[in-house]
Amino acid sequence: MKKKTKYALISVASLIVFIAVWQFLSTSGILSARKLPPPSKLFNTFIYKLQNKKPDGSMLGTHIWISLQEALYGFALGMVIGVPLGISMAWFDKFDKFFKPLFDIIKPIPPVGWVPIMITFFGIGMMSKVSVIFIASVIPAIINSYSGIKQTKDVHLWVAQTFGASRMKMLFTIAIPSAGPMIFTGARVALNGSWVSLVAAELIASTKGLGYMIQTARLIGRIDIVFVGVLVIGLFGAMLMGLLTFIEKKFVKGGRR
Amino acid sequence: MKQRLMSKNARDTLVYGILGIISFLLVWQLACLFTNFGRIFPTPGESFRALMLAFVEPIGKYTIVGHIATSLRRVLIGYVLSSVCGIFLGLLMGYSEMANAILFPIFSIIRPIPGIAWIPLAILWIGIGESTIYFIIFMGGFSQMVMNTIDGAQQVNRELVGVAKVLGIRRHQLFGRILLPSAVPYIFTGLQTSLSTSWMAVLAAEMITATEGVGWLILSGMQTGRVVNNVIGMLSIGGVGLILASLLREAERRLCIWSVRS
Amino acid sequence: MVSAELEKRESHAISIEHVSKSFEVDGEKSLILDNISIAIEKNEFLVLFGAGQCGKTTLLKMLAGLESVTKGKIFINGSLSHGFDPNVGMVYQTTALFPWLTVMGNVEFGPKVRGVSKAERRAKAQYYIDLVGLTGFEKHYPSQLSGGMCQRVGIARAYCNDPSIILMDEPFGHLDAQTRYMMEEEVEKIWDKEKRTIVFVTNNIEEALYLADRIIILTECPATVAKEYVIDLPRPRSLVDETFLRLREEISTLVELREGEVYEN
Repeated sequence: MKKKTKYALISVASLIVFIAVWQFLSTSGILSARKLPPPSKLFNTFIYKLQNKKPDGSMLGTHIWISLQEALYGFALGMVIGVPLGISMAWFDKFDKFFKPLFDIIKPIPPVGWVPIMITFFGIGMMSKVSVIFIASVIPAIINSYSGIKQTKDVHLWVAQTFGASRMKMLFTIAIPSAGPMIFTGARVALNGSWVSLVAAELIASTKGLGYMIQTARLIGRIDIVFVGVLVIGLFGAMLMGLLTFIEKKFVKGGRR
Repeated sequence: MKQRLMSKNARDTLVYGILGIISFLLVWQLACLFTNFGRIFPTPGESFRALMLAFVEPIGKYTIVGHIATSLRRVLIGYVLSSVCGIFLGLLMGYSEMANAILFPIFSIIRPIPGIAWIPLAILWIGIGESTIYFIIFMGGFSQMVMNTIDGAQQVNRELVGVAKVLGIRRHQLFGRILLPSAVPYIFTGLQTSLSTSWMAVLAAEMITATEGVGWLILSGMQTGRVVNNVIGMLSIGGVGLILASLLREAERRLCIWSVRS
Repeated sequence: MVSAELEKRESHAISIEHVSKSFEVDGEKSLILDNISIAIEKNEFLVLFGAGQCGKTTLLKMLAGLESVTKGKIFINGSLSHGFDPNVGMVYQTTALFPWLTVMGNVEFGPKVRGVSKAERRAKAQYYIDLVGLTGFEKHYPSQLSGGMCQRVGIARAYCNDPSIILMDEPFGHLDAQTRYMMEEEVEKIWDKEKRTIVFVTNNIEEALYLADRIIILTECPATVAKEYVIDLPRPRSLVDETFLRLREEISTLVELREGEVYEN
């Protein structure tokens, strides 16, 4: 048997064994079902939540949709503002020197630290979360676009100069295209940061969304809903990243690493 | 010709930098004075005064120093734990194809779950307390550490292993002398990333379940309406985060001088 | 086996007998070496020459134990080769220094992993570091050295392990012309001082003629022994000596012809 298939089978077997053991331990009572609901119950809860608004006021689908919206709005906003900002900082020296100290002060503050202030300003609605996610997204967008432009090969610029290209022309025809892969890396970091900050923001204060769902479930002791919520959060996080990788493979040539 | 004390570049950096900060403070002050902003938000002056005050007068249980120390303690414990376990698991999965095959499915399910998402589960399992916070910080940094370590383990230059074998290395020496050293730069990258995620995790955990610490401090600002608490909290977080990151970078510079990474 | 042949095999440093090598890539087998037989004398400086990219490095790797033999046998110092042999050392094409070790750390690596005492191996390593002209650079890291210096560390490292045979795989291919000439002289001087059997691979005809006692020309894939030249010129050699230039012309034409033949097919 080929090595690759052998290990693939072992992985599948491992997963099956894991779920089976879990199911056994929970249903037989060796591990309290209150602390660790069996996979069968989780599956049922999942189906239930897809159709029921109880106990937190919305169906699972609604929660997912709200969370996705908040995350993607914040992400997109962060990229749209961050990438041009990062590029300008890297290309225009005076701009760079002006903004850098401010940026260096803001950078080390984790996005989740902005949640309370945003809630003070915007209340518990969508806006507060989108603004936190915006910050989570804009910082890596700036950093990576900046790096990408700064790494433009001198050689390429010299070639353009001998052809008489102006500085602006060089920016658009050489610097930005060659920064493509790094900008995409920035997008990846920004997307990941967006999703993580989304969860944090929703846990702290929200009325809808996956974070809200698991927080509420915790308060009333429904650990099965918490479990389902956590797994769905993980699943969608992975799907978003996968989508981005797919887009990158299709559109960025001379790609990463 | 008069000798210049500073190059033009250094002078520009200083001048424009200061200009940037001053403009920012000015906009802040003006916004407070002339718009509704000022009804909720403290002016730069008030913030600074509050910051100084917080060094001597306690907010809640501790002065600001106490809060920072608490958060730092929590981060350090959780971070060290998650790094050690993460490196161990990463090396195991990186070097043993069998271990990888067995553990990979379970790990892939856990990996995309943000550390912060574990908070409700942790509270239901462990209750509210220090251990929960340690757990969250652990989960915050763990999977990142594992991924980076696996990366380092698999990136080992096959050629270098061959070179060592030609020179007469014995199997049991391979790990310590070749495989581990070449994975070190990747492990350091993992350490840096997981430090920042651990820091984020402690903040969120403190906001939700603690009664002291910098995260709590910021949240208290929101709850009591003393927004100035928010500001000084965030400033201290920023400051501490900066110092931690610089320390780690310095450590890496010393241990990895030989590396050609940018 | 007839005892006369056995005796001959034992007297050779390396005996390559009817060796073939094929690789399997995506289910397709490609023949790299085809029925190669070469006998290398002790302390001979043998150069493997050929214009192609395949075969020569693979042959060297087989001698070092880094690749397996598909068909045929290889004898090192009279006994059948089983893979890695402490008597065989190698200098590589690209820098294969351990980046986390200093120059000293790299050079003393062989003795260190074989358990030689610190004092002994330090002294030995220092000797070879001095021999290659890198005195004073013991505490430097490879990332701080130039390409030529790195290759010199590689040579010192190979020698320090005390092998009777040293393989060199186009070690100067990535260096600029100036450094290359310098390194060729160095290698010659070192070989003069510390006589070992050297199997040297190159596709640079001047380098080959400058260094070799014997040149074996290999064809392109699948590689076979095309021709052999014994170079009897006195050392150190002059690049503009009449015989040197004549041989140079001859071998270049031969190689071009060979390539032409391959293309014609």
